[in-house]
Amino acid sequence: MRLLRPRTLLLLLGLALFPVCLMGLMLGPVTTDFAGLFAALARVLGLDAPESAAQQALILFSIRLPRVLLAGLVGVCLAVCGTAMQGLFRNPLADPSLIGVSSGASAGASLAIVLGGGALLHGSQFAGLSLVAAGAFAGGFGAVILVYRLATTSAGTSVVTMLLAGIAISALAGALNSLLSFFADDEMLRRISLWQMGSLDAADWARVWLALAVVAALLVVLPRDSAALNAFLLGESEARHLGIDVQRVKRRLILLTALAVGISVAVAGTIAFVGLIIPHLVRLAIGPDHRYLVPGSALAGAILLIVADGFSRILVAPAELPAGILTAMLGTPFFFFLLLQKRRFGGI
Amino acid sequence: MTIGGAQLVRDVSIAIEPGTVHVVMGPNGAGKTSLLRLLTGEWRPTSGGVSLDGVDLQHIPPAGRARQLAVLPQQSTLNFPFTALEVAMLGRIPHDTGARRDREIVSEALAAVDGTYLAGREYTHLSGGERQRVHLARVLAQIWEEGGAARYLVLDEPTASFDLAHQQLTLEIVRRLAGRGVGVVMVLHDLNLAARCADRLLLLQCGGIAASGSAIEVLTRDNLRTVFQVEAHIDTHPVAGTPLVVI
Repeated sequence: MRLLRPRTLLLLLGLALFPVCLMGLMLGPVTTDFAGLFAALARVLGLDAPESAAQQALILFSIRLPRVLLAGLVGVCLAVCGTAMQGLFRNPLADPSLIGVSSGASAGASLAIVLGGGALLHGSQFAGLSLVAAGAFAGGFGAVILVYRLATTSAGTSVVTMLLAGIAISALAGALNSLLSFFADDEMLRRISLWQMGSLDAADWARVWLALAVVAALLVVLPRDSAALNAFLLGESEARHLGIDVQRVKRRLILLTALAVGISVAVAGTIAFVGLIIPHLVRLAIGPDHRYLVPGSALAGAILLIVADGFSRILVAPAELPAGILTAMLGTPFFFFLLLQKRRFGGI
Repeated sequence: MTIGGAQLVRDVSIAIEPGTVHVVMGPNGAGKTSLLRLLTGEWRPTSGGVSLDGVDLQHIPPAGRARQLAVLPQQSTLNFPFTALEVAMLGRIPHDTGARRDREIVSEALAAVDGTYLAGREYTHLSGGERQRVHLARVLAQIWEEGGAARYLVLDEPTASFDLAHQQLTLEIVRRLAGRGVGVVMVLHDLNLAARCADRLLLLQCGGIAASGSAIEVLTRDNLRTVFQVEAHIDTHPVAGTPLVVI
């Protein structure tokens, strides 16, 4: 049963994206109405606008706009990489954290927080990232490379071994994380636990450009591998018989996922469930054809994270709830729903 | 071919000419599937070689090979809710003939396997036999068009999950493909089905060839006793004139 025609869903999501972005811009401790938005826009464009719009403009375009864009881009990264992993593992319950990227990033971030205490005070930056973000990226990317190397022999990469290696590396990274927490002082502990909840409050333009570059790479490569991913669902040897260079596609998708999820974890912390739930929901609506599943997941992932981030700013205003908590709280009921559906109708 | 010190297939030489049907038979573990994996390039032989139209299989680019050689495995593990039409359409991945032509070919292929009524149904809801027919349509669509290089089809126990009518239909399809110049290799367990449709039979035992040749040459009491350890009576099919094995 398909709920929608693929093109209809893409059109609907595409149409929804702009109002969702606007809503993201206007929501926050200082809510803005349309008049304020236009005044601020006029101010930024150097048009005649009241002096009072200056503060609005600052909030909207220096703080909120990069944040909305970053939320959207991270949403795209996570959802699209989730789609690729589910296709690669031929398992609708797979997601990028399965191959160690999230736990590796957590360990990397903790390491940076605990050992880099002095450098943190001086706010040193590396390619627009703080030391913690750089540590997270290195940890996440490193973990995936390790998992990939462990599972690759001259006969190719075994996805089953990758799964097991991913579990092992995640356990190891988790142990390292606990060890670091054990030695950390109270201030460090708070930073570690806040980081792990995932939040977009550190958004700035440098991070937006970084995320944009990764999303661009994803959206260039993945649509070209859509047919290959469809063939993968039949099984690896079937894909090979359909003329797919299986090992090359696998390597490309794994490296790209490590890079993209590594970057998104670095700029936004670990945000749960987007990579798992979004591809799943889109597949439920339009079927498993990756030619539509990839763009559909990209749009839906962006929308979900922009909405979750918007709510995270107003629910406990003036304080902020980490977006990762919201996506997990929204995602878990959905997940239960899907599991029940699967039990009732068989096969997802 | 040796894997992990176990010799799976040895001293097998087989030439598949376009337009002929080869049937591989033998007891469980005799190396039938291993032989197919070697023939289709899935495994690299530890010694010896496999070539397609005179070129080493490992040196042909994957997409080009897929346009010439289609493979139907014993069973597939697809558990995503594609429709039957979408599954059959996957067979057109190696081709760039355009969506419209692909759809024509796939609906012809589905019609050929008596699967037109399945097109819009969800694959995961089909029965075992229906699924296998959808996959048969997929591999047919992969090598549907004549003209161009020689085409080959490899089938591993295609009739295992079929009812009587669809077993016959499959053999008809195979004969018709051979008539259009496709070289077919197929593993079958049913000796009588094999006798009806094979140009050449290959009887495997413990990874080697026990007998090969026409159905009359291969399906003898002695061969069946040595390979399968059964006492068989060989009769003649009253209509087709092929050997009829009664056990």
